[in-house]
Amino acid sequence: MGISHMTATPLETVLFIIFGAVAIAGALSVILARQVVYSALGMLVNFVALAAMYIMLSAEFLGIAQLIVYAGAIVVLFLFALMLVGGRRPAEQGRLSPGFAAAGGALAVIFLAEIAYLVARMTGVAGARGTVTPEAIAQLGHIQLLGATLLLDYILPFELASVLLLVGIVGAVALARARRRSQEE
Amino acid sequence: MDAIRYLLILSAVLFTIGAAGVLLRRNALVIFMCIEIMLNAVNLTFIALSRQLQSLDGQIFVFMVMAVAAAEVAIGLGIIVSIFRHRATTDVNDVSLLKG
Repeated sequence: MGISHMTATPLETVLFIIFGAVAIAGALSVILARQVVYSALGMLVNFVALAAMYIMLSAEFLGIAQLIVYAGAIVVLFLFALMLVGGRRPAEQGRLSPGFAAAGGALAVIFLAEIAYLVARMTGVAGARGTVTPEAIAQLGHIQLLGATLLLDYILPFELASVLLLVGIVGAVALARARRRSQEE
Repeated sequence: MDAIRYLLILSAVLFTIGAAGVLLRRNALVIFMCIEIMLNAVNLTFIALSRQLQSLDGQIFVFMVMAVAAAEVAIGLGIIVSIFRHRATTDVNDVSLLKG
């Protein structure tokens, strides 16, 4: 498996390039589409392409979680919100001052140039290699390794994530109730 | 080109597209989608480097980012719908009460 040894098989390379191009095309269609619903569908394309990349990078669990959480739940939530606010009208545009647009575009280009410069100068990835080699994954299974890491080494963040999700649910319900009360007045 | 460089550049491109969208679009829903794209770009970096370093710590970070993103979308979309009910707009230029 190529990535950890800085080489990839030709098939892997081709698949990475295809999925990368699809991910970039999806992201571009999010910011270029005139209708918000097309932005949401572009976001879906981006999420699915990234899920394929996660699976190819031997992060199978996160690839599936990406499909369920992002491509499933989050995109559907966006489409529901779009339905509530009326997505058929074109997104309001044209009130962005040209100076602001030029400054924003320039900032984005400068940021990308900085990262590209750093990556071009990069000679390798420093730091100790861990024990999760392809052989260990083949022997123990990726899900078992991830589960052990999550529930032994990172049990406190794991529990805090569940508290965070609970707070998120309570907050969403509180927002919905406040809306109903203000409609009754 | 090394796979890790390709992945880091891809992630930077996706993050830049997301950042440009936040700066250039005025629709609150599109801005929110661009934030999700930026989160995903960072997730890709974590997973690529986790593979490179043969460690699962990066994947734990991605797991946490996904939990935060799920909570964030639930709250954020609730706020956007609330704003739409009160002001009948999703354009962030129309919601500038704090502007001096």
